[in-house]
Amino acid sequence: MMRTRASAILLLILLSQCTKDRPDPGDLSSITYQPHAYQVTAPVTFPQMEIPADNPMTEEGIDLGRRLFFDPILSADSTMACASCHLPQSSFTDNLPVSPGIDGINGRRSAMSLLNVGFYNRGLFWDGRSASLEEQALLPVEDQVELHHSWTRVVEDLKRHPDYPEKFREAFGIKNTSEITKELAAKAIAQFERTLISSGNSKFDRVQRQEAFFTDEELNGYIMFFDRGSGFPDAECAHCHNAPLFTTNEYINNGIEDIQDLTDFPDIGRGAITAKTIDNGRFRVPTLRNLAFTAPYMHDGRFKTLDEVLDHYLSGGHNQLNKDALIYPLKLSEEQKSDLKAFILTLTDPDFLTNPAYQNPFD
Amino acid sequence: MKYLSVLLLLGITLLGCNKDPEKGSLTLDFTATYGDEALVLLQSYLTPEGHQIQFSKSDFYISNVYLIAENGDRLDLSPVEFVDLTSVSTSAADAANGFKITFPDIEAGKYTRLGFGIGLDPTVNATQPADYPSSNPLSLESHYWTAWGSYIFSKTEGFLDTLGTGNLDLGFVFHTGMDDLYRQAYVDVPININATATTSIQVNIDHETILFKAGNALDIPASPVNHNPNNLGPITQIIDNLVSALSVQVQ
Repeated sequence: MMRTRASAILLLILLSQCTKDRPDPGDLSSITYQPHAYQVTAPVTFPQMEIPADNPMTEEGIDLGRRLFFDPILSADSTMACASCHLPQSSFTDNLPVSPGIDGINGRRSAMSLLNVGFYNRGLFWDGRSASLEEQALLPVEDQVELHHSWTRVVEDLKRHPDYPEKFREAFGIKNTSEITKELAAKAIAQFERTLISSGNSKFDRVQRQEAFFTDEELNGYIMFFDRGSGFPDAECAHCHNAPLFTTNEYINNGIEDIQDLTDFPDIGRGAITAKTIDNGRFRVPTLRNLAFTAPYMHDGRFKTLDEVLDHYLSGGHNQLNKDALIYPLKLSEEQKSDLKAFILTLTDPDFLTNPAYQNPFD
Repeated sequence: MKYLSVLLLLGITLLGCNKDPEKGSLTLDFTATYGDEALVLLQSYLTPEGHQIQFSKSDFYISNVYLIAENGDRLDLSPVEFVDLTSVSTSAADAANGFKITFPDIEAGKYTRLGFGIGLDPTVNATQPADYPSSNPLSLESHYWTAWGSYIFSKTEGFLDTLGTGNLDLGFVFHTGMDDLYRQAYVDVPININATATTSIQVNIDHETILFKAGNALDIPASPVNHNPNNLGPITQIIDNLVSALSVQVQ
């Protein structure tokens, strides 16, 4: 009996010794954590970007966020990433009326462009349901018609990945893979998204800096867009698409639905978030910057071309009680409509599409 | 013993001097009406002609909010506030509750005047939304009009039945702005700020007066959408009528 007990104690001591000597495979503390602060640069007319105090931008955080943004590891069958619906060459939208998820099921709404998304402080998504990029980045992964995955499994995959633990360490200073969380992943993605800023090289921006001149047509369009008078009609655009971001981030009903009652909208948009009937059919005003690359237009992608959009606004749209009062039949000639379009196209920013910092890091 | 009493008295007096003045708070409770009725968006009211009218938006900036104390001292409360009546006029209950702005840490005492500017003074109006963080009401891109180089001081929007048929056939949009349209408003009323309760002042804005003040009524069908710097007539009427539309009641 005594001998058996002694053997057991010896075995325990040996086993504990083995455990002590074996290195913790999740230990990341030997990897240098020395983050480099990232300075946001934007056209001088832009507002100051507001960075959350608990998610300062670093080069390492942005690098991690960019990888996660383009990595299909976020989807259940590893076929889709954020970038599947937000493509750099399409100003971070996908040129589809509505976006299909991994199961081939179409979502309800068109993917919004992420251009200048870091400057939007009054809600994200078409209905404004997320208050911040960090909050927003969590949702598509578990949306059943988008990436249809679970964060629990994503985090497990990230922990097992040969590269990501090191990247999380470099970005956030975690000491062990066990500290990888969905919140840190969302923070990294948000950091990358805050870098998606206009290059400042659109013709409009260059004219603002007096480095270029509008053509006569563009100038006429500019006058109508901003209602600068001079005998041209007011196209009423700038009320909702004001410079410099060319969105006011308000939620409006722009009269695209032919319905009679505020409860009849096929998609009630903002009303689902506020639970106020008056907000039914209202959606966030998107930016007009780079809209040459973001067709089709509206929350459901119903208009294939910019001409169709202009025709809608010139018609005044369908009347509902909560339609914005500034959307009414405009008396613009075909020539004036063409001039307006010419001005809007000065917001085209091809340099944004080709910025190497925005491309797929796995290519 | 006598010296000790003097020292004690001096100590008590000094302690009294060091005591911070008591502070209270003041709430301005902005409510919207159309005549005597609470203003609810998309609810129909009658114009002086008997035609239907509805409102879809109503808001305005106030600035340089101040009180005048009994001794004549001016106490500045806030440089700029945004009175968003649209957000509280979606139901009768919300409309009755009003849009509240609270000013804390006001020295308790008696005051005789509440004043504020309607719109923005020229110095502030020379700035732009991009100059401000999103928490500041001056950051609203929707309330800056590039063509004027001015903030939009107030927005009054809605729909009007022009023919009396019951059909709201005309949208109206009145956006005021530009330095010349900055107005000062004040009211002389006794206001007691005390440390134990929040003093509340109800400021009502009668939208019937904004559009149809006797002797200064707008001809809406003649100019239903007005934000033209070359035609300041209608929006000058709006801003002047807005001053007249204010009434105050200390709770």
